[in-house]
This record gives sequence, C-alpha cells and structure tokens, in this order.
Amino acid sequence: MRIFSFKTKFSDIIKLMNRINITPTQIKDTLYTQILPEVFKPARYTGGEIGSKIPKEDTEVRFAFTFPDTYEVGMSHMGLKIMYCLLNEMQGVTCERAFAPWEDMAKLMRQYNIPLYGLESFTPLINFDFVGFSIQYEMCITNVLYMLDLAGIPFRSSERNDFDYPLIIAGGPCTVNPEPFCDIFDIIIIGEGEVVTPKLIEIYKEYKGRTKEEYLKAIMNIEGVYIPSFYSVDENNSRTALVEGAPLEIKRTYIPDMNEVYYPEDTLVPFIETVHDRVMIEIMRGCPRGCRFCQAGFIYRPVRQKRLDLLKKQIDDQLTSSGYEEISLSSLSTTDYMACTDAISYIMEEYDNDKVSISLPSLRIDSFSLGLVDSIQKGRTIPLTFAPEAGSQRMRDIINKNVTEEDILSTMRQAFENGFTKIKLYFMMGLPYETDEDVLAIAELMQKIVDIYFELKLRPKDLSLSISVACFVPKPHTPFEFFAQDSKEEFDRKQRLLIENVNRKVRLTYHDSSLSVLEAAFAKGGRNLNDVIITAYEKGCYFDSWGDYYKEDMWKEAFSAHGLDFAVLAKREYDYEEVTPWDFVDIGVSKKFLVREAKKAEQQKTTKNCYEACSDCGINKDGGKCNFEI
Amino acid sequence: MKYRLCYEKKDSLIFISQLDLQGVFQRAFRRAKVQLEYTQGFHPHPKMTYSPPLALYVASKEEYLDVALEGEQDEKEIFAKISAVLPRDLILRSVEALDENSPSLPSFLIWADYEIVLRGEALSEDVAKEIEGYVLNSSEILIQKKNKKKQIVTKDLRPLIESFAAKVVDGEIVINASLSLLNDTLLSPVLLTNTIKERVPSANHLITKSIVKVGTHK
Ligand code: SF4
Repeated sequence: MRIFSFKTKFSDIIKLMNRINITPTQIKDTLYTQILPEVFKPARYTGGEIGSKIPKEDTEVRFAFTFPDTYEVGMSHMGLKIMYCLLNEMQGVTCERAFAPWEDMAKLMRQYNIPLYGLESFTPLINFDFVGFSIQYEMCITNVLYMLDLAGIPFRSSERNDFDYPLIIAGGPCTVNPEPFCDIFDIIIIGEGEVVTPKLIEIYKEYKGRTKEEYLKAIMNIEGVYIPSFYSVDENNSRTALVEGAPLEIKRTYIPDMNEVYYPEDTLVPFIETVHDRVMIEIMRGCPRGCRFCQAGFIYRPVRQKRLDLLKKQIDDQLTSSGYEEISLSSLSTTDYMACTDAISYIMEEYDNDKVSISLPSLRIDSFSLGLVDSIQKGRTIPLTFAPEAGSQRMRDIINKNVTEEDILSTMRQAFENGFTKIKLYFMMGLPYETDEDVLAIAELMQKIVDIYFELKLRPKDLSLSISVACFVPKPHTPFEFFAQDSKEEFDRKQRLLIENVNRKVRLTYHDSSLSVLEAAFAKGGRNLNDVIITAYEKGCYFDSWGDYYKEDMWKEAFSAHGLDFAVLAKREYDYEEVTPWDFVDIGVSKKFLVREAKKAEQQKTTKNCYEACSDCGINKDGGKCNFEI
Repeated sequence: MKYRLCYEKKDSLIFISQLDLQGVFQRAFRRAKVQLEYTQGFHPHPKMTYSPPLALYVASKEEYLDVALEGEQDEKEIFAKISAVLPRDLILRSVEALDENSPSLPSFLIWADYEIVLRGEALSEDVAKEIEGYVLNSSEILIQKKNKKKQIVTKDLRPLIESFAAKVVDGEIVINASLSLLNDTLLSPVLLTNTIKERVPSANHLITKSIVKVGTHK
C-alpha cells in the first residue's frame, strides 16, 4: 500500500491508483488505437528502433533514462546512447527511455489516463526503480516537473517516502551547480556518469528490502554522488551535514583515461529524423584552450584524447551496426585532437563505397580547419560555421579566445576563394568589461569580411553571411562566475546598436534577452530557486527553451511569489573570497586559478593553451603539466 | 543490376512516413553490406523507387521497392541479409531480379484492396448498409482538398473506388474497398474513411487497419 501525505487530494489518490493499475498492454493498446492516430509525429512515442533493447525477462532493476526535451532532441544526445547500452549490458538491469511528450500527446495522455511510460515496454515510469534525468541546460528543468507530473510522481524528494516511488536522479553538465533544482532529486551525479551509475545500481540491489535513507547513506561517499537532502544550507551558502559522515565537499567524478571510457558496439537509430541524425563519436574530452566564458572548458578538464586504433574500431562498429550515412567526430575543439587528420582520412578511404559523409563541429578559425572542411566537402552548399565570439581584439583577449583578426580575415578570404559562400559566425554580447565600441566592432569585422568578398575578382555567387549573437550568461566554475550579467535593457540596447550598424548583407539573429537573464539567474542561483521552479511549472511554464513557449510574465510572477526577482539575481556579483552556492562542488580546477584568470581578464592578458604551457589550474594533483600524448 | 523487393509494413512501422521509411531502407542495405548503386555527382544518392506512398497509420501486406545494386547478387542471399537487419515490424517477403522485360512499378500497381475497421458504439448492420449504400449509390463523392499549391480544389472520389462492401463482424464494421493506386489519382484510404466518418457520426471510434493488395489490370 502506498503512503500518501496529508496534502494529497483524494481525487488525486484515485487518479494515481488508476494510473498505477494500468498494465503495459493496456497502455500500448490505448496508444495504438486511440491516441497515436491523433498526434503529430507518432513515431516519437512507439520505440522499437534499430538498436533498441527488449527488456530482460530476469529484470531485477528497472532504470529509465529520461530526457527532459522532445524525442528528436533527446535522441541526438550521445550520452543517452552510451548510458542506454551500458546499463542494458548489466546483469539483471533493464534501461528504458522516456522523453518529454509534445503538448498534443500530453493532452491525450491525460484524457485517457495514460501515465508517462518507458518506450521499451510501455511500463509506467512510476513502477521503475530509478528515473534518471539528463540536465543538459538550465531551462529544461520545468520539463523535469512536466514529466514527473505526467508520470504521477511527486515533485520533491521529501514527498517520496521510501521505495514507494522510483529514485529520481539527475546528471549532466548543469549539475555542477545543482542547488537551484536539488529538492527534486534524491541523488545528483556530478561529473561523468559511466562509472558511478552502475555502482549505484549494484548497491541498490543489496538494499532493495531496506529503507531509502539506508541506501542513500550507503552511496553518499562515492565520488561524484551528492545527496541534497543530507545537508542544510544557510543564506551565506555555508553548509551543515544533517547525516553523520556526509562529505561537505562533493568531488566531480571523471575517467582519467579516455581509452577506458565505455563505448557501445551498436547504437540507437531512430526511424524519424532527429536533430543530430548521425553516428557521433567522441574523439576527446575536455579542451586545452581555456576560453574564460566557456563552462565546458573548465568542467571537463583535463584534455583526454582517444587512441587512434581504438577510435578506428569504434568508427567501424558504429557505422556497420547503424548503417548511418553520416558521422560526426565530436569534441569541444576538433583540431586539437592530435590524430584528427588521420581519423578523417581513415573514414574517407574505408567508407567511400557507402558514401558516408563526415561532419566536424567546433572548428577553430584557421586555415588548417578550413583545409579539413575542404577535403571532406565535395559540394559547397553546406554552411561554414565558426565562432570568433567577440568583434574586437581587446574583447577576444579578455575572454581568452586566442584568435586574431588576421586569422579570421585570412580564413574568410580562403573560404571565398575555395568557393564557399554560406558562412555563419557566432558572437556574444554582454561580456565582462564590454563597451559599445566592442559591440560595434562586430559590425566592423563583418564589414571587412563583406569587403574581402567584393574585392575578389573571381568570387563565388550567392553570398550568404549570417551572424548569431548570443547574450552572455556567466557560468559557475568559470573565471566569469564572479561577474554580473548585463540587464535585459542593456542587451536590448546593444542589439539595436548592432542592428543599426551591421551591413545589410549580413543576416543577424540574436537570442531572447529575457530568457538569457532567466538562464543566468538559474546558472548562478541557490536553493531558494527550488520553490520558484515548482511555482512556475504550476503556473504553466514548460518547454521554456522552445521560443514561443517561454512565458516571461509567468516566470516573473513565480519569482515574486517567493519575494525574488530574476533580473536582480542575474546581476548578482560575487567577491573572490565570498562563498558561492556551488563552491562545495569541487570540479578539480582550483578557485585560485579561476581568480587568477578573472584578474588577467581585467588586464586583457591571455593565457596559453594547455598544449603550449601549463597554467597550473589545479586539476593535475601530481603538479605540473598534464601528459597529452596519444 | 536491379531488384524488386516486396515487403510488409505493420504495427509500430505504420507511424513512420514514406520519407522516413526511405532512410530506414537505405541504412538497412548498408548494415547488411549489400552494396547499393549510387547516382554520380556531389550528392550521390541510391537508386531506389517505391510503390505509391502509403498514408500514415495504414498497415500493408504488400509494398514494393525497386533498387539498383552493384553487380549481380544472389536473390536468396539478398533476402537473407536484408531480412536479418530490418526492424521487427518491417518484413521482407520476396526479392526478385529484374530485367528489361519486367513491368515497371506504376504499370501494374492499379488498384489496392483495403480493410477499414470502424469501432464504436451502436455499429449495427443498418449502419453498415447505410455506409455501403452511400458509397455505391452516389454518382459522385465530392470533397474539398488542398492541392500542392495550397489551393482548395474539389475532388471526386467515386471513380477512384472500384469496389466497396461493408459488413458487421463482432460489433465492428469491416469495410473492404478497392481504391485507385495510380500515381495522379491515388486515393488514400484515410481520406475515404474521413468522408465516411462525416456521414456516420455514430462511428465515434475509428481505426484504419488496412491491408493493401496490389491488383493487376481491371
Ligand atoms: S594542470 Fe596544466 S596542463 Fe593540465 S589542464 Fe590544468 S592548466 Fe592544463
């Protein structure tokens, strides 16, 4: 018998009982005959794709990998594909998937009393042992509540007594500051989940007949595991352990050797087109560059490259098992992978018969990168994308983007000469120490690029130049974590300034400034935001990152209902000595290093990349430079 | 060398559009290591022709795919290799080598038989008769439809229906209809079902469990 809290309404209890009593067969039947013929893209909700697993008959532990966004976004995520295979290879463990259903589907699910289910067996999520959410970006958090709601699972860890409900876990990059959403989760994994998650499951098998608290105590000292309910935090972010032995500092966990990282032999191949519909192979973790705004550049340190022979085997496994026509070599900075050219020529030679094409994300603006694109692109129709991030050299030095204007312009000239006409450049505005001149420098840089194009006698036709200008969001565990964000008004003014000054030939897109401010409030927020998130969801906020679905007014109301204002939170500065809400998370990089980098930013001084020189970031506990040979 | 594949599409695969299905087949050939023949040029694509597109939510016992493969390959071997890698609700029924004398797909796909099942309350023999009479006795069945240029046009469905019969089986109305499969006059069973549903509001629940049998000439 389930235990309900006093606050639970009777009608809710009845509804919940109905939901739990529904069998997987009934769910599937209702879906196929009543619901799916009425919804947009029904294949999102059926499973059965190539590479999907049939649940084991001797399943002891059911794990649902839940992705708080649409099927198409979630199925593009490499981490999901890796964890799915890894967990399904474990004895007695079945891992299923669930994504956030689109509104039309959710409406019909509610109408027919169908709870959110795992795609592999149509079993309601509420009957699983674990439900693990991947938190890839701040604004998907309301979708976590949306999915829990559709599953009939209470939102807060404190409302889910013992093992009546599944254990709700969070992982993914956003957990480096877990505080704003920590009340929802029983367990938060900080760092790389491939080693921790199986450990959690193994220990769970032993604790199945016991209490939730006993289990959580048994895992609380595993590296990378954070049990939010075991701590209280005061307004100065100082922490007290409520359970004896709970560590006050949580270490991010990672796998030091990239060649030891689990990689599946096969992969999931969706029936319908997804956002990244291709084989994705990770060639390297971490980035040697240290751009000061980039969270990934700090939280995935140090750089870890994959051996070429292992990479080749994985390429073969993945292409053969999936039949995909495209492969992407993914990392934070492709050309910093030392065997990059070898890997590319391997694919081009071995898979020429199958017309496999290669895509290379995250390229630096230099002639080497352009040469690579040139060698893999037979046509010139694919847009070239680069990220100079800032318009002026001064600003690029402040953010430690070690790219000169000369690099940018000569690469653009070479691109035009080689026949590329579609070019997209990414910039940011609102960076620390930014002035109006720096914003205008984006327009000036674009003007120089336009001029280069028209100076060329033999220029390719149909120039398509576009720039995307994002609003800078200061992120935890970066040298810019101490800084305030620009206000919405400032962003809007700078956007107008740029629109008025940029050459008409350049297509300009920019981010919603209000959403970026909200994002900053969450990135830098503390525990008090948990109540805000729940209020916002109850008011109707979800799919917040889907443009039209972002409801600014409702968010404002949700904050003010708890005496807060997200515009103020986003402007919060931290002194170098002050304790931040995320200081208890030790990502390996020292705070001293972040402070050093922040001070260098002020002086417009750059820092060399890790390959050139070590700047003693603290990750290498043996002291000195990391070894980057492969 | 060209081959004709006949396949069945059912259950979860009825939710996959014709366009997505093309991707499913292309990947299946690569997984099976059956070498496709590609077009020349910057954007090579495999030479594949499908029978007229099947509407979403319609299952089919007989669909066709003509495909060009590199060199000559054994039909049985192709059958075994492709069968092994297809998703479970996509079933290969036969593989046949084509020569110059083989009829092209459009030349023999003229009519298809469908089974349309209406579920709901109060679906009596009378209702079945009413539906059948409506279709068979009408000299024209006009519907408004958007064409490719998004203009609303009137279309007469009646000449596209070769035969039509409705009866009650286990409280459900089962319709057997033979509809045009010809390229420009293709009649989707979903379109016809929607028209029937308008005429018979009592059929509140409606499922198109359809079987396509490719007919020859009349
Ligand atoms: S210890 Fe040195 S080389 Fe290693 S990641 Fe840090 S700065 Fe780079």
